[in-house]
Parts: sequence; C-alpha cells; structure tokens
Amino acid sequence: MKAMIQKDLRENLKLALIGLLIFSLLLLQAYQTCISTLTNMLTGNSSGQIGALQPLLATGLLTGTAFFCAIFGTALGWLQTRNEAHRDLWAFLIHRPVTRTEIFWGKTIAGLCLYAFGAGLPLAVLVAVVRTPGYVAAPFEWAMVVPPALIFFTGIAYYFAGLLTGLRQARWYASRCFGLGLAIATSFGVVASTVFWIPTVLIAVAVLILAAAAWGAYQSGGFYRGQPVAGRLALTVALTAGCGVALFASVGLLVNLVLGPLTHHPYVWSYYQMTRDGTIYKETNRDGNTEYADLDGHPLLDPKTGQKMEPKEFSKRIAYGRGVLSTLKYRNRDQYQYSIQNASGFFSLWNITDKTLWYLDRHGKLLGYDGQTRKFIGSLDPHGNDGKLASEPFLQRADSNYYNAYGDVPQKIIATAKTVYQVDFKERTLKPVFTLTNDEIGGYDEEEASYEDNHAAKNFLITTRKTVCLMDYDGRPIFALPYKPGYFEYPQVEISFLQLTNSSMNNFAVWFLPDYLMNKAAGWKLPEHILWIAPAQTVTKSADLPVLRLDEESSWPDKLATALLPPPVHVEFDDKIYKSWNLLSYTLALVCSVIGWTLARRYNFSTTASIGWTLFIFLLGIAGLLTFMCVQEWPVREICTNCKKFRAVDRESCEHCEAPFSPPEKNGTEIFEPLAKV
Amino acid sequence: MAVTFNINTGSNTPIYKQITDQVRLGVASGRLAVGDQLPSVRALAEDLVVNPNTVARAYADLISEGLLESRAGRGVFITQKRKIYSRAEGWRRLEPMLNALIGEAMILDFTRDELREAFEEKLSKWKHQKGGDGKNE
Amino acid sequence: MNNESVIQTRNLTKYFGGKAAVYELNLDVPRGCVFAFLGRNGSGKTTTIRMLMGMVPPTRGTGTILGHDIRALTPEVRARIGYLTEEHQLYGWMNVKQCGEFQSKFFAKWNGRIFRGVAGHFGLKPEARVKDLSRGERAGLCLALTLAPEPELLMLDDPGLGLDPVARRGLVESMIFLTRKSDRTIFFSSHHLSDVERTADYIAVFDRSILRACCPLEKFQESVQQVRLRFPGTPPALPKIPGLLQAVRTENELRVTCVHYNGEAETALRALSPVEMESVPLGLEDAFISYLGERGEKTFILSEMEAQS
Repeated sequence: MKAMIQKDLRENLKLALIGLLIFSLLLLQAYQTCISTLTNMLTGNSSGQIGALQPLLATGLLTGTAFFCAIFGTALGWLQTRNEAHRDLWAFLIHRPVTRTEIFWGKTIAGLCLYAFGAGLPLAVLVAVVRTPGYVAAPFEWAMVVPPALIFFTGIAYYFAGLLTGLRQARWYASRCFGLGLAIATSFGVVASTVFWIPTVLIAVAVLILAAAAWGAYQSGGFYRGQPVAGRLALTVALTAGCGVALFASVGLLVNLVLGPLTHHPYVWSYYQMTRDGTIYKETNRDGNTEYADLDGHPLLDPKTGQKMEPKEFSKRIAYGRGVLSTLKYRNRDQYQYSIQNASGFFSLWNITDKTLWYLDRHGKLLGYDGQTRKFIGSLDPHGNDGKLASEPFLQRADSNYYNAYGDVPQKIIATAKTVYQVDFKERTLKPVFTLTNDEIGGYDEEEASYEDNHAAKNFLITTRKTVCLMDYDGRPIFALPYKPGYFEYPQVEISFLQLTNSSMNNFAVWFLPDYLMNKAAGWKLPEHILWIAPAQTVTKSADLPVLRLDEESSWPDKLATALLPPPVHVEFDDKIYKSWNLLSYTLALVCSVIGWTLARRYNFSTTASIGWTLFIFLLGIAGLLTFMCVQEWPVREICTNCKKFRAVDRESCEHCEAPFSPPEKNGTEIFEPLAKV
Repeated sequence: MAVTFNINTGSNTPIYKQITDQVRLGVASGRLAVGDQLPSVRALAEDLVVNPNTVARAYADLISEGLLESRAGRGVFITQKRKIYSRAEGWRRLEPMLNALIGEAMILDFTRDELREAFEEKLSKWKHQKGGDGKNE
Repeated sequence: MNNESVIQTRNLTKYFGGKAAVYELNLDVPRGCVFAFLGRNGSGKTTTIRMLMGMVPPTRGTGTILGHDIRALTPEVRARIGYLTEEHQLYGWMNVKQCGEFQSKFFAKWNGRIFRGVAGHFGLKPEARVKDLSRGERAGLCLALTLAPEPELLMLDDPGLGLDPVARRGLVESMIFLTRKSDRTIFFSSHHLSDVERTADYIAVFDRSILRACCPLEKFQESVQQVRLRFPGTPPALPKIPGLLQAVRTENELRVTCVHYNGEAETALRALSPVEMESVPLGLEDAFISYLGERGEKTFILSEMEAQS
C-alpha cells in the first residue's frame, strides 16, 4: 500500500503543483479585489457587499474557490484513473498480490493528499494571512473558516466522482460522468444551506456514496455486475443524482431557451407607493412598462401634460420612507447563519468615519478597524471603549449585507435591547438618549438623509414590544403609537415622511406590513395596515389594503417542467404549480415503471429485483428509469436453438427451456488430443 | 562433442526428427563413435534454443532404437551400433535419397559414367571406416 | 496436486456487443508444459487471457486458474502467476530501477538477481526512463518484472509482438531457461511460429472465436498434410474429401491440403486415377497457414480462367 501511495503521489504531483499555482493566483487575485473594495469604500465613493471586506466571506473568492475545488477535484480523480485506463496498464496495476481495495485506498490516500496540497494549502495560507493583523480590516473568528472549508470538503465529493468517471464502463458514454451529478447537487445544497449541520451532513453523505461507488468500480473494473452490494447501491444512488441533475438541466434549458420564448408569459408585478401628500397609488410593472393607478383603478395622469404619469415624474412625488424590522420574534434564537452568500450572519458594517470602519459583530459588539493600517483599534460599548467589560449586546439593524456609500450617511445612534445611545465616533463615547424600563426594543432606524436636497436626518424610528415611535436625537418623541397589530404577525413597520400642504394635513404615514410566510399560511387574509398622523400626534385616518402578490399563474412549459418531476415532489410541495399537472407526473411515473418492469422481466431479474426496481422507478419517475438503464449492463439476446425464443447470452442455460448453449459447430478439421502432463 | 547440431525451424521436418537424423548421420559417417557422450538434454536444449522436452523426445527415440543409451547419473552415450532396420525398411528409407541424387545429376547434365565413377570414389573413402574407427575425419 | 490442470475452462464465453469474441471454450492446460495459444488477430486469444486473469468478466461459463475461480482471484493466487500483457505498458515516468523497486514491494518472493539478469540480457540500464525505451527494451523490462517473482505459471500475451529478431531470440532463450523448473507452466500466445516450434509442447488454435485444435505440437504438424496428384491433362473436379482445407488446381497438378489424411481421403483421391500421387509433410508455418487460411478450392488453370472471363 505504501508503494502504491508513493507511486500515485509521484505520478500526479505535477497536476497538484499546477493546481496549487492556479489556486494561489486565484486567491491572490480575489484577495486583491477585497483590498481594493476596502480602499474604494474608504474614499467614500463606492458601494459594495460588506462580505467583500473579509476575504473569507467574499462572494467572489468563495465562488472562485467553489469552481476551483470542483474542477481540481474532478480532474485529479479522473486523471488518476485515466492514467491507467489503458487496458494493459490497468492489468499491470491490478495483477499484483494485493486486493483491489488496497489499490483503491492507496490511490485514494495519495489523491486526497494531493488534493489537500493543491486546494487546502492555499486556503490555509489565506486563513493565516487573514488572521494576521495588518492584512484585513474586518473582524475574524474561526467560524468564518467554515464556508471555505465546506467548499473545500465538497471538492472531495468531486474527487471521488472523478475517480468513478475515469473507471466506469458504460454503454452510454455520457452516463459515465453522471457520478458528477451528486457532487454538483451537493454544491448547490452547500451554497443554499443556512445552518452548519446540513451541508456537513450533505458532504459526508455524498463523499461516502461516491467513495463507495468508486471503490465498487475498482472491484469490478468499472462494471455494475460483479460489484459488492454496497458498491452497487452507492453507484445507483450516485447515478440517480446524476440522472436527476441531467434531467433537471435539460428540462430547464428546454423550457427556458425553447419553450419559454415560444409561450411568452408577461411578467407582472405591482406594489403600493405613497406620494408626499399621503395618497396611495398602485404601481404596476408589466414587461418593463410602469403604470400608475389610484386605488379605484383609474390611471394616474400627469397634471402638466394630461398624459399618463411617467416614472421619472412620479419619482419626484414619492415620499421618503424608512422601514424597521422587529427582530423580537427571533431574539432568543441563534441567528448565527453560515450561509455562504450571507456575510451579515457574522457582522455588519455599522459605519465608516475618518478612515475607520466600525463593525457590529454577531455578538453585538461594535469593533473598530483602521482602514489604512488594517488593524484592530478597539471596541465600543456602553461602559467605555476598552472592550473588557461584559455589556449588553447592541442590536443589529435590518438588512445590513450591503454597504451603500451614497445612502448610508454616518449613523448617529445605536441601541441595545433597553437603551438607545448616540455615538460620537471621534471621541469614541456613547451617550444614552433614551431608556426603556418595562419594554424591549424590537428594531430601529434613522431617517434617511439625502445629499441631493441637503436634507439631514433629524429623527429615528423605533419599535418596541408595545409601541412604534418616531424620536428626535434628544430622545423626545415626535409621535408614539401602540404597536397594533402586533409585531408577531406584523414585524415590519415603515414610515413615510409627508409634506404638509393645503389639502393634506398629515405629517407621517405608518405602514404595518404582515409577515410573508404567516400571511401565506393565513391564505393572504392579512391586509397592509396604514395610519396617517397629523402634527398633533393624532391619527387622522387609517386604511387596510389587501397585500399585492406576484401573479402565480404559470405558463404551460413551467407546468410541464414540474410534471416531469417525480411524484414524491408533488406530494411534498403542495404549491399550486405542482398541483396543476400532477396527474401527468403520476402517469409518467407509472409508464416509466411499466417500462422498467418489462425490461426487468425480459432480462430475467429475480422477482425481488424486478419489484424493487419498478418501485424505485415509480418513486423517481423518468430519472429513475434513466438510472435503471444507465446502471445495468444489458446482455445481448439471441434466438435459442431449442425453443426459438430470445434468450440472454449471459445465462448458462435458456431461461425458457433450460437448454444449454450449443457447442461450436464442427467442420471436420478439428485436431484434438488429450494433453498428458509432460 | 564431435557433432555440431543444426536446427532449422520452419522446415518440413519436426525439430525432434532433425536431432535424431543428425545423430544417425553422425554415427553413420563415423563422426560419432561408440562410447561418445552426447550433451545433456538441458545443455543441448539451451544450446539449440529449443524446448528440452523436444530434445528429450529425440533422445528417447534414439534410445529405443538402440543407438543411444542413458547411463544413470552420467549422461547419454553412443552404444554398440545395432542393425535396427530390416532390409526392406532400409531400402524404403534410401530410395528417396537415391532418386533425388540421380534426378539432380541428370538436371546438371552428368553422364551415367561420371556418376558411377564419382559414386565409386566416395564409396572407397568410406570403406575403411566400416569398423567405426573414423575419429580422424 | 501436481496433476491437476493449471488452467481449466468450461463453456467460457465472452460477448462484446452482439458478437462472441470467445465462444464456448473448453481448455485444459496440464502443469509443467509450454502451451502456445495460436490464432489470427481478433480470434479471441487476448480476450481469453484477459478473462483467465480476471480482467474481463466472462459473459458465461466458468474457469479456474491454479485451481481458483477466475472471477475472484485472490492476491495469493496472483502472486503465483506472472502476467505479461500484450503491449508492454508501464509507467513512462519511472526508470528501470524504479520499476523494479515498485514491483518488488508487492511480492513477498522477489528475486532481484533474476530481475537484473533479464534486464541486463536485454541491455537495459537501470537509469533509463521507460518512456525512452524502445519497444523491445520495454518488452524486456516487462519480462524481467514478470519473471522476478518466480511465478509458477506464466501467462504471456504475445510476448514477441513488435520485437526485432535479436530481442525475440532473447525472449525464446528466457523461456527455455524458465523450463528448468519442471513444474512451471508457460502459457503464451504468439504469431511467430518458429518461436512456437522451438518452445511449445502443446498448441491450441483459435479460429474466429472457436477453439479448433488443441494437441501436441507435432501432432498438429503431422495432421495437416498435403497430397500432390499429377495428371496427364487438366485435373478432374475434386470430390468431397473429409477434413479438406485447401485444394489448388494447376495445369496438370492438383494439390490438396487436408487434416487427418486417412484411408477415406486417400481412396477418394486415388479414384481420380492420377499418374502420380505423393503425400508431402508440411512445415509448421505452412500447416498453420493452410489451417487458418481461406478454405476451399483455388484454380490456377489459365484456360479456365480465360473461359470464365
């Protein structure tokens, strides 16, 4: 085994070195991108994902890593077997006094070492660099290593898929690489997951299955027949995923590229807008055309021209707004999210002042980094800036994944669950503005300042368990309302800043917006609730508007695409789209399983195997049938000389009449003599 | 060894037969005398690059003919030459060679007398070797 | 134990697609012999060897090698078999010495003297890279790797393929040398009949995926015979002759090559009342070519050919 490992290490070292070089350059380039994002943000004229400030969380870097690990893993695995796929070299390899399992492990250990060398080493260096003060002006914690690590481990699934592809003997050449399907599916699963354990389990399962399938392929030289049960099972699962992915991709392409354009389905989206006089209009986007109408459905006309209102003109009339999402509902849960696409699970960029970046990390600490030296300069909390005292965590603001250089003027306030503070970043001090005694802050946000008309922020919106309140920076309420309906069903509160005119006497309008999922569960019965507030803090008017939803009517290609999905999907997701054509789905599954059953009977599968495969195909539909056909080797059939029926050539005797195969026909030139021992 | 074996592959004659023929010729021509030792099976096989079983088979044929004898542990030796063929059998073996000789002579335009003369001369050279004392050849 | 067949197959069959590459093969190879496996290209020799070595699963039928099922060869059995593949493939980046070292780590019994000896016999330098070796040198290296573990059964798939006459002689010498150990069996396929003639005890002849002959070498050579019949004029049409391989008709001669030339065939030929009739033995190569060449009657009578055209 040691010799095997050494040989494979030496044989594929070149590839690993090339991989190492490419990946190092790729990471270096992604790192440089992160640094230039930082530089641009510091100069105040660039917006960007805050994840870009910490390379370990940067989307670009992670995407690059994901692609590299997938390609490198596949290439390594594939070449490691491809090198020896020449049948004589394969024979040279296999014909030695060791088991094939040992050969498999020898190769695999060498391959994984090389993978770790090519893909793992640059990542490890990156982590070391990121941790070193003076390189990255963003918080670091070990949990941030998890996303790149998960991507790295996903590459191992690709490695085994590559091994499998290199070895697999199949009638359909394309189906040799179907093992990659499971790895690709895993990649998507990893990217989409929001909790740590799901991708871990996904990767572990995928690696286990693909490793078992590759091991099985080593046992049989790439055939399904002659493998141990575990290998056959793993191969079947892996190919099922492959067929699923292939089917999914081809149906997706068909629908989007061919059927989609043929059956154009207009894209309609509408929502409410409020103008500064407090009137609500319905804005409708239809294939890029925007229309405005009042709530009675009359189109809105431009008073100057008498024509339909243009978006440019309308946007001048829209009221400034600000929204606050109450996080009370989730406060006691761990909000910690590992989603690779979401850096805000770790920290948000609170502010940039004087070349200093202030982050609010997920533990509620305000951390300062010098943008030029890229070093940590200290943390800020209610008890001073030494950061040593345990203090109450600061609350996150909503949607803090993106830094907007033009919209987000320096924040002045920050809040814990009980107290709102005004921050002086220059002096690095906090001044309490407002403290709650018998209540808890749900969310808060400041009025939007605008450079355009020199409008400075004067107040902030705050929601607690009981109230919704607009306050100035001295802690004086401008108005306060009971939080009704409550934050549980209506977590989102928005405020529109209105202008007092002769016809409109209202200062503000407050929107209570229902939670999407809860509203969906309630059958879309929760309306949007709006209150208009006059300067005297009195509610002058209220309205309930039905929520506007996306038109969920799907076109027939979409329905067809869902109908190709196997029955369990239709049972699991009882959305309208899945329901519409699910009879077709069941029919297709049934037809496929009948075909499967016929095939199984024709090729003399045992009754158990026939039933098993038929059931399998019924559950997985077309993908199941494809898998069945890919995974098995189908023997030729020829006519039995005895009973004249077709019989499979891989049986010792005819399945119909039990007659053995006839010996070769004699032609009178045979020379046979018993051979004695010499 | 007084006889150099020479093997032709691709010939009509199987290898074992080529070996037996050459031993017989050696004995007949006097190059091999009674008591002479032949190389061992293994040595001859490796020398000629042929399968030892082939050599062994040739030796076995000659031993059963009485031309050779195997002395345990010492090797294979030429034995007292015994008359091994009947007169008729002898003629049967001789005839093709005579035919070939005469045919070739006719093609080459030798007269009958020339042929007779040459034949006599050759015979006279072979005469005194009849006793088997021809090692000086 | 010593008397069992080292290779035994029963109805061994392999299909590639719809075509049988090996059909219902029954073979018994006794221990200690040199067994030559002959046949034209594509007649199923390599497939058979690959099946016997467990590289290709048979479509049906069974086989044993050294008494073990060919579908599940254990490392212990493999250690006892030396297998030389057809194209002498090795790892190009290794040098001769590294090849030996790599191989030696897998075999409990590894005779370095044999390895160096055979490699030296083919003029291989230890530092020479495999990818720089000539075909013959590579064959020599493969042979050295195959022989060094001192296997009791050698499976050589066309070991002479692509070798020059000198290298081939080296190969034959090695094979002869190997028979020193009397219970060692050599099973090899070849197209070089002179090598076969020198080395083989037994031969098996494959004709388009079917085993046609399996007998001692001389038996084969003796069984294929040519009879020449001379006629005063154009030879008469040929009657049905059992075991007929080929018949060639010329102006006044009829040459008939057949298997098992016996009383029946002789009577049939005598009935043609030829002027002269003699039977001629054939060399192995001619016998083999007649055996596997085109069957039937050929005419070289110009007048008839002209008449036909």
